[in-house]
Amino acid sequence: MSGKAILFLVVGFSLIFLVLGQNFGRISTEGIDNSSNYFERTVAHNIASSGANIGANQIFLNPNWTAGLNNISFDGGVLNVSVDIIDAFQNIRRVNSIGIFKDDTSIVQITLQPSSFAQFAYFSENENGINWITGDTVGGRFHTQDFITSDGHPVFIGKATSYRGIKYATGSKTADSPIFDGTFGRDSIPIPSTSISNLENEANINGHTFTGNDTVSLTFIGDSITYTTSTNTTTKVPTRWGWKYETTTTRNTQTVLASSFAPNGVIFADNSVLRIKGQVSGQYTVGASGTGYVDNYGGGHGTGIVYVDDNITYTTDPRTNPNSTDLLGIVAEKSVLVADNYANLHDGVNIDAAIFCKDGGFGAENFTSIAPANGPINLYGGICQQTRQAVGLFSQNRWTHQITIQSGYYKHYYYDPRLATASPPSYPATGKFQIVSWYESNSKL
Amino acid sequence: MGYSTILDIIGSAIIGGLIMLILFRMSDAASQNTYNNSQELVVQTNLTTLVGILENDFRRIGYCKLYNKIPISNTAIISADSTSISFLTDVNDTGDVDTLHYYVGPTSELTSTPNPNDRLLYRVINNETPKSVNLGLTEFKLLYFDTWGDTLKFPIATTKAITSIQISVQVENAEAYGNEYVSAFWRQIRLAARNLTNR
Repeated sequence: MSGKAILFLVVGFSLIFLVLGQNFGRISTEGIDNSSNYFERTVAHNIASSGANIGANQIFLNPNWTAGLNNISFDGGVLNVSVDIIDAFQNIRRVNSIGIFKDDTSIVQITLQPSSFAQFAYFSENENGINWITGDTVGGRFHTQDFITSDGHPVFIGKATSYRGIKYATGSKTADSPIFDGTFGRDSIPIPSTSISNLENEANINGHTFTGNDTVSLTFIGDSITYTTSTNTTTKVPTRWGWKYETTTTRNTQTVLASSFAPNGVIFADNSVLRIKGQVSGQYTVGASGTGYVDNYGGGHGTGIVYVDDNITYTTDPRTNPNSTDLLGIVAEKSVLVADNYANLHDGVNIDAAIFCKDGGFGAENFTSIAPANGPINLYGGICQQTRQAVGLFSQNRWTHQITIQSGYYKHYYYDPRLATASPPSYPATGKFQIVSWYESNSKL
Repeated sequence: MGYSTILDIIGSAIIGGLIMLILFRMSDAASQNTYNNSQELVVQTNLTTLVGILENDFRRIGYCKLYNKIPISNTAIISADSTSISFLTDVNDTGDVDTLHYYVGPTSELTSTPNPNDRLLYRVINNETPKSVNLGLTEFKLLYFDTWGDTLKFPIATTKAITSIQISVQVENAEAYGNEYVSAFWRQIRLAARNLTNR
């Protein structure tokens, strides 16, 4: 009897321990499953992210790279990278990176588009010794090939990059640290030497090119453009005492439908001065080439300079209607100057445009000698320039530190956020791609 | 029946009693272990589920299929606090910009569970009715870093400065065996939503 009882006891305990053991085994197996699933998912994601970075780097090195990577062993898994051209006209590309680890798959898709200078709220190659001071705020993408010289605490709201880095005006990092609300990094983005000739080519293909003129004036009036070309002819005429040279100016004024006049939106004045004003409806880039220069007092000499004669604004204001599609690019081989005239000095000037100066900068004509303007320069867009220029002279009270304008204009510059992803037609490009979208997804095989 | 028989009966009763006590104790310990182990699994599963959702959503901060709709990507985080965050994203990859809001409810909200520390995690898309999930969350902490890797102090003056996020999550079981709650903890040291630094 006692033998049976012991047998029952042993069998009973064995059964209990078997059930418990199996339960513990299942729990620990599933626990390890959880852990390993997360690990596998993470590794698959890391592989896919690495592939995306490799793909982006290949495109950075060779913008035409579309070969991709097939079944590359990577970190214990497999990596596949392909490149799709999703918009051939705008040259928008997508890098698809698929990371596989065990039975987990991770996908990273990055979209790249040609990087336009229009994306910059501010760009310069040469800061011309001008500091960024407390109170200065840049509201979008910022880049300089020079140092960012910080005097106080200027604020950079968007992504900021510099080729040479940061210089602290007083040498004190604490006293002169710039505030980066976005990211800061080092990068080199030189202005391509072909930026003006490329624009002229586009104007020749399906836009409009003015040639053989000394000055071209454009007035945008909604859908139309009124243009005046001025050509100076110098002739030698006899006088009672001998000979003299007389200059006669031939003017030709016409009003045309802008979309027919320049179907691709590019209007270019070859080796000429360009003067602009008006209200823009649609998307246009105006440009001028030439060999002129701007002196230290803001005086413009010769061709390749664009003068803003009066307000040039969008018909649909993007500040009140973010769906506005009006865009203007102003491109000068030399400089873009706010003209020294009554219209601008009387109440300031409003400019809605992305401005690009290949060899010069954006400034005010005769800024050292004109009276203080009765209004500021209200710029809504962005500025890309070779050399930073001034628009006015200011003095600071030694005791109160109050700043008073001596001549020229105050600046009210605001970034047009649409320019971060959109640009005026054929606006100069950096020659590189920029990542505009980064998508990640995980899935089981 | 003699004196020795009585002693045998008493002795066997004592031994039997002791064995019974051991068995009861064993049974109790086995139940506790079984419960705790299975709860550990539940907690761990809850945590990995939660982490999967969080990682998926947080990595897409500032993403939109039609990227022109979020032109300045560092404006994608609308508000950021130590236990809540609201940001722009494209939840279903449709090309529409959505607002996703994560926040935790108070512990008093979950009186139906014995655990005094668990709370609901809310995930709200746009202006939809807040949807909560009870995965035994006891901690959901967010920490934000700027471009230099420095911690941003609360309240965060400008969310544009955020370039990476530290996420800490702790999950416990709803009911403990005794007072021993099983917990699992996960931390993403630096989650960099890539779209935040695109432009």
